[in-house]
Amino acid sequence: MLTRRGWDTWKLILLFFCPALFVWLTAMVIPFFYGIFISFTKWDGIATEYTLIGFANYTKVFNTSKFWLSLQRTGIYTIGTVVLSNVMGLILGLLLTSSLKGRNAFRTAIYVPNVVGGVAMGYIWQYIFSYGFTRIGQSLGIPGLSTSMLSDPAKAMVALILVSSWQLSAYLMIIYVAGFTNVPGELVEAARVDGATSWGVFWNVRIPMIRPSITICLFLAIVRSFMVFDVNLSLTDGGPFGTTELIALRIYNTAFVSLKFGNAQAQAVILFIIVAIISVLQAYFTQKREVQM
Amino acid sequence: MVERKSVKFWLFVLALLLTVFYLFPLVLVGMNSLKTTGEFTTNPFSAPSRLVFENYPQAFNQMHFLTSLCNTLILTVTICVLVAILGSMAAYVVSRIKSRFVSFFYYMMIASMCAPFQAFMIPLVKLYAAQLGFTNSLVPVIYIATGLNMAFATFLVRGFLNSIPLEIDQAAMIDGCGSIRLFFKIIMPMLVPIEVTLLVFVAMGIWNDYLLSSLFLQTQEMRTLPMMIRVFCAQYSTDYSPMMAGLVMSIAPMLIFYLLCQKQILAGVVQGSVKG
Repeated sequence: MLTRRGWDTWKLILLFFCPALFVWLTAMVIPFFYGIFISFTKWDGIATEYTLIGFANYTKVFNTSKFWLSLQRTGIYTIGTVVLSNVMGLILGLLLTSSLKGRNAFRTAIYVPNVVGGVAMGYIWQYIFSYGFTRIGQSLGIPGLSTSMLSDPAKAMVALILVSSWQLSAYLMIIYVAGFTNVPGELVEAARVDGATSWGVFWNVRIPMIRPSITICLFLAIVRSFMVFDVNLSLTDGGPFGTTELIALRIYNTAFVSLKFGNAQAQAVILFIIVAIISVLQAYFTQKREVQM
Repeated sequence: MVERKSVKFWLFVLALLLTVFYLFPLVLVGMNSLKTTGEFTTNPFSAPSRLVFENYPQAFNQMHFLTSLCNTLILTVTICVLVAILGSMAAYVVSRIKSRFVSFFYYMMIASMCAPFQAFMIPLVKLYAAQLGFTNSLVPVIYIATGLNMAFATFLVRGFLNSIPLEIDQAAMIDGCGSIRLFFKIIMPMLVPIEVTLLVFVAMGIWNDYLLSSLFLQTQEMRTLPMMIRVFCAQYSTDYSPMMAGLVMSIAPMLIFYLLCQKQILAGVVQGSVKG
């Protein structure tokens, strides 16, 4: 057995590992800890001097109803998007793994919304909601559609969930397709021979077999929804009257519009903690519920 | 048997309807980019009565399309190259060398992948723009994006490297090949499939990135495509048809790229899904 030892090992670590490590440290780790420091300061973004104010930013954030509202909205948005995108993704995944003519072409076409960036996507849908759907509403005489969904707080949230799910479900479809493809055909055949109905095969054979994919997709959707920014910015920009301002956009606005950097960073740290908890839960569930093959 | 056939037919119809549902917004944008603004507002769903191509040159000039396209290209290519090289080198060390130092930082890197960008956003601006003075420059965007993608790159390539037998390294070393030459001459060429997956994934993220670029790039000469869309759609908010043309032009490059590399992109989605 030939292995590197001593100096040769360290030379390789230094030359090959440390450059990546350095970039990662300076772009993620140092800013992260620096961010925690900023959250304890009062800083308007222009002054070079800091005033350390301890937990004042955090107490202020916790006492601001707008923060809680934004978090609550993010929660509602997340639940809506996670359910809708996963149900749609699952249906698409199932449909496009059945014996269907041209299923690869369908997969390619349906995935297209994910190629378009969030900003462009938001604007495209903004025009559809403002000019397309209102037209349909007016000509068919549907009162709920004749004014733009984006100008009504509750409907604007629904619009945001719809657009996000529309895009995300196409993404999740690919993961579900991979999951369903890995279900052994003999298993499905065996269940059929034993007299299982289509629904029975789906619910008792396919779903348990793709549990890892479901776990991945659920958490992917949760984390993505919690951090959504681009579509929020371009579709509603938080409007009408700030009623669709989700947490990531709120952090951005607090920092770069209101210039309260310390306060914004405190919110960012709270968002980080929420996402970290979700990720730990994901790691736990992924390990626990994996189907043993 | 007859019943199965009809089931198949209806499944096909369903798939077709769903495809229409997923594509109609883009088709609408394409159609409306060829109308006058007047026709757009009165008839948003109909096909253009007369093809109007003037929207394209108008949008092209108003958006400074070429400038934004160039900036986006420079960012995407540079970041992809840096991420691929540095990430693969790091992954090689993680895969081949048993060291507490390396594995500690490797697991920290993996853990960092789930962190939301908002946690770094403000300190990054403070450190790179305010203290190091990198304002209105592509350099901090390139550097930071490379750092943000490093963990994922290392993770993805390491998985692939672990499946390359150690005997290949050993054979080369017995022949007197040094570690550095071994990596670039023998290992790197074997990594091509995973590099393609990695690059496609990173490229799509960078190409469509709005937030990071907008933090460091201010003037019009520095704008990227997503930034340009934002400015354009906010600025000319009543001239719809050129806006549609602008959206088409900004989407087109990525769409072409997708149609060329769809296999790798869809494979990358599955492998990248573990990133969360």
